[in-house]
Amino acid sequence: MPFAVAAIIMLALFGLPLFAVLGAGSLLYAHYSELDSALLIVELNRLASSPNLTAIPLFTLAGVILSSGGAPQRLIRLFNALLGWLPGGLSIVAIAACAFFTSFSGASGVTILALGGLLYPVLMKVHYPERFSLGLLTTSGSLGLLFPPSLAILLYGVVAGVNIDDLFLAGIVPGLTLMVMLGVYAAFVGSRFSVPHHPFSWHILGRALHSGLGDVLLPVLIVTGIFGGYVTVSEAAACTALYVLVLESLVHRSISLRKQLIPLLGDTAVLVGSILIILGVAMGLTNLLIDAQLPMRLLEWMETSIDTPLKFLLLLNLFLLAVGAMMDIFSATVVVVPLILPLAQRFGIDPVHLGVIFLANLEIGYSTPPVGINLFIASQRFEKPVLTLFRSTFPFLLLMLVWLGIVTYVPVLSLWWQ
Amino acid sequence: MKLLSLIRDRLLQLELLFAAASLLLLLVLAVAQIIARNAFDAGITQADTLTRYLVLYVTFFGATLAVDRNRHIKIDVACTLLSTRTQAHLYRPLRALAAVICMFFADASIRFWRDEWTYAQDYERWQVIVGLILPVGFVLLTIHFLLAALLGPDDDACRLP
Amino acid sequence: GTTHVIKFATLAPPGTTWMNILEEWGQEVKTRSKGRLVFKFYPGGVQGDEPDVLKKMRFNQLQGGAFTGYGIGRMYSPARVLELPFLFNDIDEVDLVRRHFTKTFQQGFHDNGYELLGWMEVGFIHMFSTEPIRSLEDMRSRRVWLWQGDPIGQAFFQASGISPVPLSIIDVYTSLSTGLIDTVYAPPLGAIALQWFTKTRYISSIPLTNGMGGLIVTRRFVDRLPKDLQALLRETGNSYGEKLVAATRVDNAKSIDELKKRGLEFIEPDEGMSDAELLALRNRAADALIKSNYIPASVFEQTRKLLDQHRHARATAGTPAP
Ligand code: NA
Ligand code: NA
Repeated sequence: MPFAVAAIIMLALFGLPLFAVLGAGSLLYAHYSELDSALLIVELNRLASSPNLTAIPLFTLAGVILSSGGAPQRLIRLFNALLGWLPGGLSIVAIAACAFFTSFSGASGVTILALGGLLYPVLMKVHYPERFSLGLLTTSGSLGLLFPPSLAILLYGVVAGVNIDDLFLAGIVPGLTLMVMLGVYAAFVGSRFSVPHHPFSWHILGRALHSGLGDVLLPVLIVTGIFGGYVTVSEAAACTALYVLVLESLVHRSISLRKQLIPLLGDTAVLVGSILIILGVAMGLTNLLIDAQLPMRLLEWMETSIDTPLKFLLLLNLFLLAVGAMMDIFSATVVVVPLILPLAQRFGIDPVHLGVIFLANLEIGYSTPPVGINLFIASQRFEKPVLTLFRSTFPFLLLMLVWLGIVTYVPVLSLWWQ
Repeated sequence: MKLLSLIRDRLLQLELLFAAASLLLLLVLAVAQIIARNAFDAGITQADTLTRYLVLYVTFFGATLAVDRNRHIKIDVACTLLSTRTQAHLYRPLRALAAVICMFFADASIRFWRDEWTYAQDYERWQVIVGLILPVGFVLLTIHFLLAALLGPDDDACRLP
Repeated sequence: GTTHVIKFATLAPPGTTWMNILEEWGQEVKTRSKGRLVFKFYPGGVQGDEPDVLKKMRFNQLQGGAFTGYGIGRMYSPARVLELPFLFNDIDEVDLVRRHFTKTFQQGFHDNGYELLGWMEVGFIHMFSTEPIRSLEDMRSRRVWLWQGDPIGQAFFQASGISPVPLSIIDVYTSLSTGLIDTVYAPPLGAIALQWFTKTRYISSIPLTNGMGGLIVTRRFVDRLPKDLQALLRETGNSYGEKLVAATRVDNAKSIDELKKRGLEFIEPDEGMSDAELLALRNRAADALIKSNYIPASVFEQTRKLLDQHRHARATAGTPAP
């Protein structure tokens, strides 16, 4: 058994698709514990009865259509008109636009590809230091993770069985806190290097608003729709997808339905498929762990060795940072959440707060080696070595660790509305 | 080899169509449900069930497309540490292995599906038929990984999304 | 000798009346078998909804479970005659019919590959809602939960012209919070155990039906047990079943007070909701279930006859029918 586990981990490191890694693990474990492998499919089949899951493909579709339409350009233009006059204005524009865009595109690295490519040359042109620009754009790739309708939140809600509306609400203040912290840092760097900022103009803002109004209205509509009680999360997803489709094809005419619709639907399916197949297979593995009563045993062990919630949270953060260094957020959610959820409840941590802590840790994990998707994508997009990028993100990482501490130990930031 | 890549391309075309159709149907049904509930105080009970199955359709057809686009999520330490040549050597064996794993899952899902068919109540039989996506999906995944193993990489194996 | 492990799943959350008694049962079996037969419990729906548990029993991951009528319908549907809406006037009538059919039903489970060790009960099922429901008309404009794949619920809603939202029981709590549904049905004890009452404000005062339940294991497992352990399992299963029924009745009554104390409001039906209307509704639902052979016509006829005799006997003996 230990040999098999080691072999599977090796294969994972060599690049065997994660769903196959988890699949191999569960097949072997089922064989070892004399259980029928069809049981893995019993669990996978449960995906077909999950009512919130429909939101994932629909929001993903909206994100894919937005990024292939002209949304990135329109967003930058709008945020520049709105915030560009601030000291460090352009980098604050980058932070706001990236956060906004990531909440829709699902933090799969698309933000760096779509926005980073546009912002990097502009940042360099106004004489921001190269390292600062690289670090900013790399970390910004996962900034909107805590804002609705982020896929990461949806998936956590589905896996943990936590109310997704509550999670959306809980993520807002911690997410904004990080944006403000990064914004202040950016303003500080901006003024130190005396980066120029342009004056505010109502005229420019008006024109930018005219073209970008449809995009910025979207989160407003979603938030009012869901929290006003008019629509459920999956209904909001359907409305969003339809709205974006109409916006891009009929209003802005930036995509042609006849030529682009099927490829775009295909791209969405690939994104959805690569995430949900992992969820499906991991559910089988989780069931085997439950069958062996592993979570219960882990709980008993924790109860004897950890006595305070504070200690537990510290341990949890260290563990999750390690997970974030090794795994991508979607796999981590489906594999790790079922294990930590009962532990956290035992220590009196609200599952909604746990969700914010969990996602905050993994948001940092996006930019930490060895598995930091943001580092890889930025390395490809900006044509820089991964090591350079890691060095550039380092000050941002320190800032994010401080933020993580605040989010973890000040639960009221997440739960003020309760 | 030519025949194999022809087969693969045809399969991919079909899967793209099915993926697109499932996603579009999902959207249409979801919107129709909202209209029915709010405008007519009525819902289509079976449509709720069907939408949830469509998520599985999108998932499986997306996952089969992802094989050839090299878009499956992995722990890509290899891509940063190993030389391009070593990675190229690993391409075929890793896909062959993935094919074997998917084959076991295909076997499991066929047995699962037969059990479902045997014990389904009459009014649920249509769901079992819709549920054919599970065995079909894993068989398709097996075929794609097998084809990828036989045909080898067509370009950079470490291509990122 | 060998230890026989029975992995036993239920939707009942840990710490509830149901789970406490089940644990007690496990303890007694373990002691009396001197550790040769032990239970491993999976409470709180960790093994999934009842259809999932059944699938896992068929693939031999699990060997048994405490089921509600919903799960029982998938093993041996005639037993659900005990759950037909608006059929029974009081709990004595339920007991009478259940006693009458126990032998027949046990054989029915056996023939389908299961063993009914003992009966359970979930109790009288009420509607819980976020808006007051006084008539069928009120209900038609609500988002009503249907336990996905439940023919009795389906027949009842169809007969009432309601289009429900089908969901697994696992998703009910979150769906109540998100507004995907706003009306559910449950026994008072269940609504408290599953926390559903925290998301609703009103309860219908008229119960829809009396929810049944059963302690069930696979025949395959029982057949492989030594004779003495088979006897032990049946005997204790039966007595703990009775214990469960009794405790459920006491706790459901307590739960009603608890719900009132928590501020939930009991709603009386409108004048328009006459007995005749309910009767017609029940007949339409029953007809559909009999027509689809979910509940055999003979079982329904026997039940009706039994109830007629009982009610007649009571009327002539001078006990006023409630
Ligand atoms: Na990382
Ligand atoms: Na990561």
